[in-house]
Amino acid sequence: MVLDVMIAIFAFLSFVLLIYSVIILIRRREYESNRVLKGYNVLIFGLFLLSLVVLVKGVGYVYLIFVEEGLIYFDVISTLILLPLVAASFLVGMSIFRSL
Amino acid sequence: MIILTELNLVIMAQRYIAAILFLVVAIFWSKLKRAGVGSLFKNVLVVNLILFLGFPFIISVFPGIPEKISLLIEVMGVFIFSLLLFLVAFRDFRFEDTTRKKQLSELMEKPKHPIVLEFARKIVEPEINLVKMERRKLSRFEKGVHETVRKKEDEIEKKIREHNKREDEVRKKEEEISKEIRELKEQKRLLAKEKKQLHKLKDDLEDKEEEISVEKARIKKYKDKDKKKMKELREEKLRLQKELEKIENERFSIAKKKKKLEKIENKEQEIEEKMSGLKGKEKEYKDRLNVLVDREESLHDEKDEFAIRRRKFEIEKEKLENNLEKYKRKREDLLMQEEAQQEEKERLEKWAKTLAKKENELEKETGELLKKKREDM
Repeated sequence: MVLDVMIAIFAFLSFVLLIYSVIILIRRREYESNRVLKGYNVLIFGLFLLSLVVLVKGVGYVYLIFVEEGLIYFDVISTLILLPLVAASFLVGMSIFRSL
Repeated sequence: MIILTELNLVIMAQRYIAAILFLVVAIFWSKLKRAGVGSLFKNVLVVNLILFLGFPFIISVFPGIPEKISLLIEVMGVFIFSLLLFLVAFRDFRFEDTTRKKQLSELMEKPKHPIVLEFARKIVEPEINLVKMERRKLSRFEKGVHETVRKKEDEIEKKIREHNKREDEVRKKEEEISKEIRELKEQKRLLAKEKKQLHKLKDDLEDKEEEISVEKARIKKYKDKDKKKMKELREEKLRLQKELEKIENERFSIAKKKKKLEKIENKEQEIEEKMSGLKGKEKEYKDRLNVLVDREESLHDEKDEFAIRRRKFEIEKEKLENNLEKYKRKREDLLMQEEAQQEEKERLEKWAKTLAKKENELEKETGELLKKKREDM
């Protein structure tokens, strides 16, 4: 129970920080050179997906605290769908940097 | 249950795949850094931190760590790296922004520069927009404050009216009560007067009785001495009798007034009894209210218990349904196997029949051949 609460709290805090980071990174894009801008955008998109992963996990653990069942669906959304997308977007970003 | 375990397996596999992808990304990045791609960025640390966010997902996949602990590590890792990323990106952004503004303001000082207008747009316009926004916000805030003040004033007026009404009602009731008190005091005063009068009359009666007795004694004396005075005495007696009658009448009226007084006292007692009865009823109502509150709480508890039981029942129902589905599948498989066996059996029987036919034909042919051989011999 305590662990669940801790996980939920950290997840929500991480979500807020990640969203703020995404906003700041978008605003500081204009200072980057045009050559790296495409890969940079893809990395920001991956960061946004990661924030969604963390949010879904947080919601899942809040649900677990109150209902004690049904975590599997949140896990399906976060781990099965979103997390590989995050990794894939990072990989795409790297491949764009490689082509420079 | 089988579906769930399969899903868990798929999720685990997907986590491993994600971890591998993150590892590949890390390797790529290290190679690119060596090749010098890092120098293209304003701040390489930001990109490093973005890629470090995949690191907790690699650690959480290591075998031997309990599920909850690995999840906690994952979330805490993400939290720490996101915090670092936020701090670094924010600091970098502020630094870049201030330097850019300085550069632009320096250019603004040269009024004939062709890009001045653009810089004015970049520096002055946002500030003007901010001022406009602030003005709008202030006007909205003022409107809101005026509305709330008006609402509160209306509410206060309403409350004052209600308060005045209540005050009037209370005054009326006070007046009624004071009137009743005055009447009761007057009645008491009258009763006291009448009591005093009664006492006086009693004293007078006693005095007159004494006088009568004295007179009677005198009359006895005078009877013996003088018969002439008998007539006078008779007259005096008659007068005294009349006076006695008057006194008796007065006694009767006093008794009536006493009865009235007793009635008033009885009424007072009745009022007191009613008041005590009302207090008792109030206590009873409070007790009943407490009992009702207790019942409500117990009902809530029962409701919660019922919800828990219902949830358990639903879980068991799901399990039973899963078992039923398994049983049905097995049954269908068995039926399929039975049908296949039946078909095989029929096929074998047909084949046996054809074999028997062929045997008969062969026997016939061998018989015919033997006959032909014998004939040839």
